[in-house]
Amino acid sequence: MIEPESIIDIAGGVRSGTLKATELAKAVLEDVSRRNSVYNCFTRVLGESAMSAAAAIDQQVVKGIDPGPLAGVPFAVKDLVDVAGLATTAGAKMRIAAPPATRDAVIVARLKAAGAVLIGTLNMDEYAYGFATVNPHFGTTRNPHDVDRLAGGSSGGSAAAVAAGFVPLTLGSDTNGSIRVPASLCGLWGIRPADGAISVEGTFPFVEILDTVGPFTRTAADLELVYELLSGSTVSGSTVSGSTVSGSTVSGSTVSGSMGIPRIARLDGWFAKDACPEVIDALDKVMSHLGVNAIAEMPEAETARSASYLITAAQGGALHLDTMRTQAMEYDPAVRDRLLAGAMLPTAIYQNAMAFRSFFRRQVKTLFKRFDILIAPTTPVVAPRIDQATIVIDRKPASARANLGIYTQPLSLAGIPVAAAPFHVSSGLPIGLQFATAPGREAMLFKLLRELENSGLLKCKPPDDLMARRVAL
Amino acid sequence: MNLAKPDNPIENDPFLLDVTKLLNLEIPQECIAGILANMELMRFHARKVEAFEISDDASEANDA
Repeated sequence: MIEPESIIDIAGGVRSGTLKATELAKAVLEDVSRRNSVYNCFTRVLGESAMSAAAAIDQQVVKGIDPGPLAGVPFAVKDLVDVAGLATTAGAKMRIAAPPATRDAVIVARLKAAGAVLIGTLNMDEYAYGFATVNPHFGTTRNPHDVDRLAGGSSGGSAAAVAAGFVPLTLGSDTNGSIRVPASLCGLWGIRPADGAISVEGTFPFVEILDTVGPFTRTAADLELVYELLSGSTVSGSTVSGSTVSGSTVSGSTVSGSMGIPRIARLDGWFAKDACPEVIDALDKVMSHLGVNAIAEMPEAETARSASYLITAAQGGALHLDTMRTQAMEYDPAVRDRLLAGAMLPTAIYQNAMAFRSFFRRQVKTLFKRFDILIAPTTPVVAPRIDQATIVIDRKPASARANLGIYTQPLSLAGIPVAAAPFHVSSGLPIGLQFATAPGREAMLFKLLRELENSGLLKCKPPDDLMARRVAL
Repeated sequence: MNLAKPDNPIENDPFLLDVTKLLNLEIPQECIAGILANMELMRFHARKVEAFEISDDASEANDA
């Protein structure tokens, strides 16, 4: 694990000349070369271009030019994000030989413009259709807190790369929970932005109306900084200075809302059902710390999960239909069968789900007239073992991999910004809490997250073996 | 004409047969069990959304 751990501290060191971007990049590349086989996070490592970009950053510092708020920060991206010169595989074998991307995705360009150094691409569920990162072509990504457990998905490589200490920043995508679920299982900060708040241009699509992209980090302050840079917005104005981000092609959201005392509530009903005792305990502790006992019910959250499931299947199936006509047998069988079933979903069912989506979004908007921040579990359980087929849902065994997103899917359908925050239970494994807000109230959200992090209640902790190694050094 | 084939559940289901023809999809045998399992899940979720339709009108009325 490189030191310092936080993005803000790394960039501060590089900008001041006390740290060298080239030394950081070299250390990360060596670390990935030595340990990636344990976790299987990285699918491609871009050693030459990373060292070249890092050298350019160091040169800027020598010349007195500020490289930007992410100066020298090593980062990596889920393998559905375009990187100029590389095929965007989206986790699919059939795309390994696809034509290389002609330019970086907007989010990659923004991070590079801010001085960050791209290290490589990261593993994922094929075409982002999964919560496990069990990929028959690129292998299973393992959870750095316990390598016999799932890292979560579909952005599992992105989460594991940060949790394993390879890099302090990665990018993932979140359609139904693909940032929040792995953030929960790997104990990280992450955010699914509001619909349209961060550009998805240059990323491989899955479900157009639900797709979002966002970062994973080790601290809440880092999350806020990167969110600002990716969205092109200013949340608090306190963490970013001298930003050199340019080429903004998408208008960022305006997030300078009122900074009064937030009206906070815990989501009940669907979000309390099926959660394991550790998750309930985490929620109790946070609510107690905040001195809040308000409870809110999100109307029809269970139906929202179903609608999200159907829209995903139908739109995903439609997107892949042409390819499935000729290359069905090249897909991950689990993904293929879902996509085929989705392609055959009657239009009337899809239309019902879309009509429900409109209703649900109105209901959620109404809920945010009474509250600013809603808190809920991210996953019902800590990371399941890789060989564990089921978890208990509704008092019955149910597919572990299909049900890790039961609390994230309704919030995706609402299209609202939702941060995932890490909590560590007594077993040593992490579990995540979701903090949802209305679009435009991100400043209030980040302020609360930083306060909770400063209190020590919500915190990203390195896996035990990394801690032990650090002590030994 | 009876198109039913005992070893192909999709071709035994007139609806699915129509859909696969409409989509010009030739379903490989290996996929059939998986597709049917997923369709069952989708029916489960579709029933939940369909059940909601009744209360949708009521909710709209309440909003008004």
